[in-house]
Amino acid sequence: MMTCDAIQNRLLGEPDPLQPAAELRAHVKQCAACRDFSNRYETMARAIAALPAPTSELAKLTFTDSLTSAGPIIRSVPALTTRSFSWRGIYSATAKPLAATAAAIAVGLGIWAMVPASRIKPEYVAARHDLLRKVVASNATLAQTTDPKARIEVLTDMAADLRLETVDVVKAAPAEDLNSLATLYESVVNDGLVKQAQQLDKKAPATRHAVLNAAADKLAATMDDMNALIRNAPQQAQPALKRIGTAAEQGRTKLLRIARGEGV
Amino acid sequence: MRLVLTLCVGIVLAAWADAQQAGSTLTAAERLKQLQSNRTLVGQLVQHGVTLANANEPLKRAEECRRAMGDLSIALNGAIDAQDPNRVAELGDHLTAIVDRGLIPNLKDALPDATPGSPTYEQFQTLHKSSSDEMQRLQNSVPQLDALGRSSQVKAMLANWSKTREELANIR
Repeated sequence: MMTCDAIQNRLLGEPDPLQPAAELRAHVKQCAACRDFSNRYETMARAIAALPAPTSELAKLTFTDSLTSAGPIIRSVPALTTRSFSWRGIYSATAKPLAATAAAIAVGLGIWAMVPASRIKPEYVAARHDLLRKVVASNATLAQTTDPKARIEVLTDMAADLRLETVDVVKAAPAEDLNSLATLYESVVNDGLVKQAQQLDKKAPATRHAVLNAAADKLAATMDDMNALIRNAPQQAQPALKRIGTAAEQGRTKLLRIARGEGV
Repeated sequence: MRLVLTLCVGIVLAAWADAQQAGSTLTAAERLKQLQSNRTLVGQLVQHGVTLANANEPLKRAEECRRAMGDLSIALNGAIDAQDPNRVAELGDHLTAIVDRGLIPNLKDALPDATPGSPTYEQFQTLHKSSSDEMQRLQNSVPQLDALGRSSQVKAMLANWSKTREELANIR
């Protein structure tokens, strides 16, 4: 039976199933079933040839469908799907996902390269110590001038910077830090400011008067600051604040005396 | 129109708030920490400032700047050992200021009087050499490859040091 099925399929595969190859013809001659199959085929082929040809493509398709859907004719012989190893198969299965991944990485790298490094990981820049910066700047200025008037202005600013630092930290700083600031303040006023005031040209009293009065006003402002601070400052801060206030007061007195042309 | 105005006001306020945040002032605790970190150095530099104010000869001012440089170098060495790029850059910039604006101008002013055989010649030579050597030693002590060397602040500082060293070397 299996042999007849194979023969009949081969018959249908012939260019003209009614004129098969010699070995098929020999079998058909001996086998009643295959001979009957061949006869039925011949009948159907004649009947088909006698039919009027459909005029439209849709009609032709409908007709073909009606022929193949009726009877025992095999409409399609399913082929066995064999999954053997194939580089081409692997390529076709993976090419698109790989290409998409590569494209995404390329786009990401492009964006990364275009973004400035500083935006990727900005360097932390700490706030710098303002008093240190000002003292350095004052030193640089003092290193370049021999004019007592200019020196007095710089030293007055330096004293004011020390006062400002004291005000900024007075509530939190321990006595040691505040005393250190007070010592520096005293040094700037006594060893710097008053000494330079004594160097001012005595032949230019108007200039001397103006410069020293301006410096004395700044020392007076410090006195006022310290007096105001002492009222509310923590106990440990009071000695240092008093020292700064006293240094400012004594320095002011000396400057005003020098301004008037009196000795100190 | 009202919507546009509202949006504009919102944008301006957001920009203002951002600017305020960027330049935020330090807290009292942060200020105190800065003072405590720099208290010794501030004290030394204030004393150098007072001495500079009373020094009338360029060589004496140069010597005082050299002393200030020495104190900054000690603080810098500590910052380098601690691998703290912010502090290294801060102190390094201060060193540059002292050398550029204090030491070098005074060495230049002192140079005409520091001729061979003069009383100040040896003093000038010693001061000049020790300053140049100190700058060289400091520059070599800053690591180039680790986090310190990669810091943009430190890179800028080292670039300034190179110019300063060159200028110092040119004083002849």
